[in-house]
Amino acid sequence: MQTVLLIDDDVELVEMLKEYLELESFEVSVAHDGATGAKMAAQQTFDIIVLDVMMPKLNGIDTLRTIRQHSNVPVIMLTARGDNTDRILGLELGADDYVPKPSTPREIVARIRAILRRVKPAEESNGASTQIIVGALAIWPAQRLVTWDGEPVTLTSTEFNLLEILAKNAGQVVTKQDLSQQALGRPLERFDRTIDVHLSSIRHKLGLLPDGRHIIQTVFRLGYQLLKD
Amino acid sequence: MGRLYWKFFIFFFLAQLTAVTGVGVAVWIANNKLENANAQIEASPSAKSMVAAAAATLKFGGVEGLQALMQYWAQRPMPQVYAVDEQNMELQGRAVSVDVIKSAREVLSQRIAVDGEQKANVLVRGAVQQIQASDGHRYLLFVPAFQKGAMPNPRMLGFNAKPRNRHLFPFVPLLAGVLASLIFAAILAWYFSKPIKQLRQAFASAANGSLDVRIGTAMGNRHDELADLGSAFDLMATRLGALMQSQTRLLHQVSHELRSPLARLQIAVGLARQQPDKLDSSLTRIERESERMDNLVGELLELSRLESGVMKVEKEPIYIDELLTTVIEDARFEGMAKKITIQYEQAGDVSVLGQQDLLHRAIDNVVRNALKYSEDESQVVISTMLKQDNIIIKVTDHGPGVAENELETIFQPFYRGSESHHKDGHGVGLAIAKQIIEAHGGTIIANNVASNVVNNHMASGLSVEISLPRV
Repeated sequence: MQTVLLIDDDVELVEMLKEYLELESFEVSVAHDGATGAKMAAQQTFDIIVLDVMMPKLNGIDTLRTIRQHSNVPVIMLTARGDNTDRILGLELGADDYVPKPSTPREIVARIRAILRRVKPAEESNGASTQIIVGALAIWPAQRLVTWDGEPVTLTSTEFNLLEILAKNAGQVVTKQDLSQQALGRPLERFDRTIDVHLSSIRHKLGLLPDGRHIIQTVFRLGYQLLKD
Repeated sequence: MGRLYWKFFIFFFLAQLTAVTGVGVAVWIANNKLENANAQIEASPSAKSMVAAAAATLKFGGVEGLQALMQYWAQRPMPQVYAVDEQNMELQGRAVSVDVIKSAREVLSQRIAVDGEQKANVLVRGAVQQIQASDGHRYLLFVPAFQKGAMPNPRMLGFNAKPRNRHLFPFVPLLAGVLASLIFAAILAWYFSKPIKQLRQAFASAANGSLDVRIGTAMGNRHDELADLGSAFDLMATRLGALMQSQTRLLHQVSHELRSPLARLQIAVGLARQQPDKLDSSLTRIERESERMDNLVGELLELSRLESGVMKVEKEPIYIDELLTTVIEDARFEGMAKKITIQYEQAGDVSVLGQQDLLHRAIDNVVRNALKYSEDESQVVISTMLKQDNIIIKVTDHGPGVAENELETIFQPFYRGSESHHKDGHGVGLAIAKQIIEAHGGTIIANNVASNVVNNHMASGLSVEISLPRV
């Protein structure tokens, strides 16, 4: 059973969502404030964390920052609909995706599943995957390991998925729509910056090519491309 | 330069021009009169010395001496000194026009103001002299002005023929005056129109929604009505900005507050779909959430009505004791679930002027708030006391209290203690209470009660004090 940690100050909402998720066969733990949530995330391992951005005490953004200090566990944020600042800030801090609040529980479950499915692909394609090497970049999909010039790179699961997709299609342009479908399991919304924020974050974690360029290039209006040699 | 500038400019200029022209014309007329008199009499230095010589001759040589001198002068081509007695008779019997004699007398008596004293006009002093002669007559000595063509060439004879246009209109000073008034009109117009232009720009940008413009510094160190207008604008912009900000914040909070029950509604619906067998409990939840939203919307409307001041407080006498009794009855019933007792300490029945239903609502909100945050089996104390012209209603609970720095913010809409997770109510109740109390000319404040012994255990709590002016 996959484990979910729900962090939200709305006690009744959490209760209902817990009930819903449990019937969808998840094992659910709950925390009613950010500090408790961050502490639980540090003590136990969860498959995914669902985090509300608007909370008293330690708010969602700060909670995410605390969690990311020692864990790359997938995180889905619950953000107010239309609040782009929180959304982008959250993605930049390493959240994997967001779900607007209010949303139907079905949508929340769909997002959770989409992320989880992509975090554990190794189990499905057992041993079939070999390592991908593009220049200084080396990816081991089975171990979910990435190195740059032999140095290991720490990526969140969504960042890893995106990089893997780009590396598999090295030298070709991959559209943002495809990236969203394959890495997040959902179509891109209008004015959705999720993919851009994730890729910008990956760029920061990888080094530069000998000629000073980034290995991931933005192709205006089309999408992104991983440079092949 | 705007239109106002040009209007100011033209008006100032015209005013100054009129003044300059008026004064100029008046001076010209006065001068002209003087000049006319002076024009008949020669006042050049040589004429003056001739007159002086004649005067000396008359004084010391007597009438005969003067006659001899005049005869001698008469043979020479030069201006002639005339001597006229009281009867306007010329000594040599020469014809002298009455006009000239009159002018000579005028010149003699001409006085101008110098340093506050009346002194003889320097220009013409000595040009005419009056001498008491030995024959008993008083002779007026002067040189009549040259007539054109009467003399061969006065200049050759050492006379400075003065230009004869002295009585013409004074163009040069007038031109200087016009120029000066142009410059001053321009400066004055600029001085008035510049701050008005700044004000206009500030208003324009305020109208465009940027309320952070301030004109205080742009005015420099002016201290006049225009500068006051500028600071009044600044004050207005600051207040409006603060008001707009609070409205925006309220709107933001409202949308957030409405989202919470909506989010729960969505999940309740999801649960109903997921487990059709538990439809009943899901529907109960859905019902509860929609009720909450309805309450929230109602409270918001009430708050907005109170804040906009649309509500008119009908003043009627209200007996506080009576009001409190009904509130407490409700509260006792409400508190039964948590086994909260309510203690009422009354200090005399007084009445205040106000609207019964509004005041009831305000006090009820405060008491309900106290109940909500009270611990189970604790006590809420409601007491009244008289303080000068006010009645103070104090509601003290035994709950967690609030942080010291949040004592004022609890009266703002949607404040919810950072420690609390209560989902009943929306944090609008105390804001409504505050609006109502203030509409009645009262005040409402909150304090933390440090410690209290209740049923032999220490407890902190919050105390809300409502002060209302009594009749």
